Amino acid sequence: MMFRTGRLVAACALAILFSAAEASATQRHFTYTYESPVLNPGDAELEPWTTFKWGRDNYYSSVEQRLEFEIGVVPNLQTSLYWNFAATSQDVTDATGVEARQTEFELESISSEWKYRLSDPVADPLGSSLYLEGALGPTEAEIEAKVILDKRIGQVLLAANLVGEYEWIFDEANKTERELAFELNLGGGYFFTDTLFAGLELMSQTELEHAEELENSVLYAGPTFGYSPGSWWMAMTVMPQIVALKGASQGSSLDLEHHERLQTRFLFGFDL
Amino acid sequence: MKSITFIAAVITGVVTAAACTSSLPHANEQHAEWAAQRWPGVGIAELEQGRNLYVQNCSGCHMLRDPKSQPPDKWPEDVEEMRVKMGGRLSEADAELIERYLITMSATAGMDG
Repeated sequence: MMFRTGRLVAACALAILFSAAEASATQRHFTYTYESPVLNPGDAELEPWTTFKWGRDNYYSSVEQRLEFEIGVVPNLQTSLYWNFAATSQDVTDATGVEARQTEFELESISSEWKYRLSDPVADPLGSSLYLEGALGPTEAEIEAKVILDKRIGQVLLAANLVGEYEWIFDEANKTERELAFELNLGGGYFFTDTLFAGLELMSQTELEHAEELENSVLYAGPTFGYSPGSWWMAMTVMPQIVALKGASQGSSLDLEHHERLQTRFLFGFDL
Repeated sequence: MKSITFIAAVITGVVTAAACTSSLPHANEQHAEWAAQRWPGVGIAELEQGRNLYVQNCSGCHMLRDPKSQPPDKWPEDVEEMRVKMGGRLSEADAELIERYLITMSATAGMDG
């Protein structure tokens, strides 16, 4: 019985992977940098995300999993619902000075995204969208806004995002921490064929403690790769931390207290 | 601070360069003249309608392709394939308008308005 169920699941997975049904995916070619296109009204897509983060001052390893359900609402407007999970393992030192490895798995938050397209990267001189996301979890709440710009010139695709993020963290009794962060994402790449894409992504993250004081600022950059055979697509980026502009750890040019040495993200998109 | 200035300069440069590049061509009188010879009665308005339908319907599924990216006689096959994939959400009449726009722009490359 279990064998039969396993075969059925495998067959379904293969059918999803290799089906050439309706091509209604709004493919992402970068994993950190968003592009302006939105889904047609009524079209829906499922996007599982996986982000691996490795290496801080002490042992640190994290797998963040995001499941996104995306749907076109009216022309030029789409909305999404996300479930955000994280499994983190790290070495922490307690009040008595004893270091121990802690591992935790949690549902961090559920978030809702709204994206409105103003112009198209091919039809107009510059593609653009406005993006707003709200997230709520047991110990955090967050609002994020993005301005998305992109342009396709022949086989070349360029994209830029300006991101502002305000976060409330309430993981301590009678205390709510506030954090303000800014992010800049740049992506550039080349379509080798209609289905194969490769390029580079750059991400600058800046955090302000208590939403007032500049705490740290780091720069990540690395290669990105996209593949889209038909009714599904995938994209991946490997982003090592290049330099800390503010808040570098002692004896290092990187900030390994607040940020990781390496981030890698995989995105998949499946038409529904 | 220098890095932020550098990044801002890069973005400004990229955005300016991108904004100066070509976009999907709009129909002009030369395009309409060419189209009218092939499909009598078709003018700028019909070609522009085809352009709008192309942007509205196709960009929600995939990145739009430049009409000049392939010869005119390749477009009917591609448009029909996409119409079938859209499962009836794109009418034959709308698909025909898209097809005429793409064929005209491909055949009249260099007359972009």
